[in-house]
Amino acid sequence: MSIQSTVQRSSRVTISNLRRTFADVVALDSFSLNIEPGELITLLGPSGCGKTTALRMVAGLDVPDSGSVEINGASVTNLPPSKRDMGMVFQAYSLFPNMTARENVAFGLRVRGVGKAERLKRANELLELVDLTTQANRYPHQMSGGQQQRVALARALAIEPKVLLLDEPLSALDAKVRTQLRDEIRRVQQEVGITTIFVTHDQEEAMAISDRVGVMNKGNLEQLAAPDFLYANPATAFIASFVGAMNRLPGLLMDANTVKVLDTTLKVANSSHGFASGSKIDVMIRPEHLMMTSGDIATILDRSFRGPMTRIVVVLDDGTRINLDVASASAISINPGDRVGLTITVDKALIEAR
Amino acid sequence: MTLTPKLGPGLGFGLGVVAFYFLMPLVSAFEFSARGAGNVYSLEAYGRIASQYGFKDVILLTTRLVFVTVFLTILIMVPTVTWVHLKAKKLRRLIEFISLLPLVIPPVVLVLGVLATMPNYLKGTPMLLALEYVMLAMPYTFRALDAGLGAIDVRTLVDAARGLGSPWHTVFMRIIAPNIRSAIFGSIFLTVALVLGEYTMASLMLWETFPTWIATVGQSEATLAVALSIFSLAFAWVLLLALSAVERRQKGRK
Repeated sequence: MSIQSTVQRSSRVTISNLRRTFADVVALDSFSLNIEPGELITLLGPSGCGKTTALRMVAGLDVPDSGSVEINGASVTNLPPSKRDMGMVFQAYSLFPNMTARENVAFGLRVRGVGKAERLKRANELLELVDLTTQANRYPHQMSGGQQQRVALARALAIEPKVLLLDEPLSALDAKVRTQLRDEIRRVQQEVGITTIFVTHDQEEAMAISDRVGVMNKGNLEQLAAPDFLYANPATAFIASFVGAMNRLPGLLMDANTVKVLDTTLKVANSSHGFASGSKIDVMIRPEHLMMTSGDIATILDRSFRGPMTRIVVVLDDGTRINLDVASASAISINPGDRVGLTITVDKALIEAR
Repeated sequence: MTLTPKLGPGLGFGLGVVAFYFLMPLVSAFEFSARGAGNVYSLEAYGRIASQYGFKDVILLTTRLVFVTVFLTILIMVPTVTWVHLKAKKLRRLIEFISLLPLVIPPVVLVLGVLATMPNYLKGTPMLLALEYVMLAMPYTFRALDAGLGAIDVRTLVDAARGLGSPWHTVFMRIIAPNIRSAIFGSIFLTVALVLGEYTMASLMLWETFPTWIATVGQSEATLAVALSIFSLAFAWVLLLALSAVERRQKGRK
């Protein structure tokens, strides 16, 4: 099949200053985002951060208090969902129980008045795209959760949407299926070349499949960047903690731009921190940015094997617990109770109030 | 795994008592209606039903009332209960309470209230009685539809259908209705049974429906009146079985 025929074209999405309140709660505030054609953007954040609210407003399933959504420069803010040409896959299983997989995929085309022969042909092509040709005549209750979500993906793509919206489509699945389907979503998205917004609270999922990740917190988009950049350069302490593992080490602010931690002087990554020189603050250091050395500043508490790496937990003399990762091969000789030294392998870090 | 209870002596005895309780009056009524002259059993009373004065008109009126009531009930209640599930979950208890009011307000009050408020052109038609029956059916239909919609993720299905371009009428006809079919049929069963058995309102509004007609006939001829009761019960069963067959056929297609 011609994969490119699945989408009308790759669309540019411009979201400007969306705001949504529920009673006194601000669910989304000044939410703006530009998505390039064919790009996969993930909105990542904890429950209640506003990511699903943002997605539902893009889909037209929720109405913003203010702000606008544009597709290729044309506003769709006031259009109902049925007129927006967007395909959506939901967190909950959303296949129509009274229809087979093929009928589900063909439903959107039927609504659009596409002839039976043509819509069945396209439904079969899309089921082939998600590798479910053999399940075409099955009803949702006869399929596994992963298969249902793949059919939902095919159904969303069948209408040749301008944008694909994925609202935590993997969260109801078990870990193995989740990883498989995650990779399959990325494969299909890249083959089809469709502009996609993916919502998840799982940072590993976000990092694995996104062109860019937007981290949301309390209704605000705190940072939007490529996954590797975001991981290496978190803009805020919240992002640093939410994306990947992070240690908080006690430090002393020497001046506005330098901090001392574990007898090492580092540059401060967040220059507009507002702390006075001499303040006692926390310094954010990732586990892989710490190295064990011979020394006598911490005691090994525990270790847990994680395949190629082993997570070591040490405790400083002031009681601060620190996680660090070492290659499993060299972790064999590390035993709880051993005294060790610690070296920081980066030259800058975020700081936050203690 | 399905657990099927074994028919032990206790359960068998219980079922026997229940069956006796329900069947004995029916058997007795049938026995009474079949008593002919000289204590000879015959179905002569049943043979005379169709030739009774007014029988045809009563059957036609009652059948019309059944269809109109079922149509209006489904037309009003399916969108209403769906709306409650989609947009007003917090109002569910209130609407459930409102739907119960026809059970606690005496029929005479309902009839007088309706007669006092409805336009004159409706007062001379049986449609007004059908509207009363729609009210009476509300407590039963609300519960049946509420349970049906509660069993599916109606919000996600509606969002999915709307997102795929469905207008609202398509959402109702192709997505909601087929997935709460059992609940809709349950509502129809209850409404049909209610219309076929309702006496007080029809009598107060001076319409001769099947139940009021049976009462009138029964005043002059007891055997025929009982035969009519058995006939009306059989008529209701046949109607409900027909509806049930339609539902099973649709399920079978799936």
